Amino acid sequence: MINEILKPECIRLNDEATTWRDAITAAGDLLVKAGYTTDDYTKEMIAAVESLGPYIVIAPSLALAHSRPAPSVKKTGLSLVRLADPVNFGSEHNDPVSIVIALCAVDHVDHLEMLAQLSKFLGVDGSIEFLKACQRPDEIYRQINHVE
Amino acid sequence: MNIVCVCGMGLGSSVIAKMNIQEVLKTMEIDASVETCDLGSVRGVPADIYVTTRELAGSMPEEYESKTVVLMNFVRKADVEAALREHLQKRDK
Repeated sequence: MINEILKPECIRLNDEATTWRDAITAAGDLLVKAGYTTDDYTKEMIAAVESLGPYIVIAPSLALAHSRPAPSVKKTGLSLVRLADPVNFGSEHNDPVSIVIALCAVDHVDHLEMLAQLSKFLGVDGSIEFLKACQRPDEIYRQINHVE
Repeated sequence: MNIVCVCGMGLGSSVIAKMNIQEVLKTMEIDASVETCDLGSVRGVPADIYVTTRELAGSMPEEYESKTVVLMNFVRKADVEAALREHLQKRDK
């Protein structure tokens, strides 16, 4: 069974970002290309870290970049960028970051099912190691979207 | 019991934390409501326990300190459960 929460074109492996800003920008650019957001949302995700700190690094190696519902969000969606070389976000416990998942939501409800599925995937032991090591975007697509 | 997960926007990290806490509470057989909230509104949201990240803990209202659980890992249920257990034990002493 497939429940697509992450589109194939929203997965990018081995991005060459060297700073956390570039890493968020890479994930934000995927959201823009997929028609989920405008460039403003990418700036808002970066501004969120500038004002609130690296709290979006919610597990070792993993950042969940996001801002709040805004005119810059056209549709609810996700993107995933894996960095060729991990970068520091300034998180005391969870740096360096290899995986940036960007989230955009049109309101506080529309994304809940999507996040439940993502959270279930991330909660399985070994899932972050899988994302760090997998060389095939289609395999990541299948795992996150539950394609049998 | 009433638990509130606090993050910068009340949209992403805190929602993931809420989902995992709900799962963990089920296995711990604890009956509690779990809500989310952004840091800016937390003063108006009463709770028995607040859950947040290390980076945001310093910005929480001072009077909440004894009620706040700091999580380093929002996605790993074993970590979430350990942090909750430790807090409850300390609190109920």
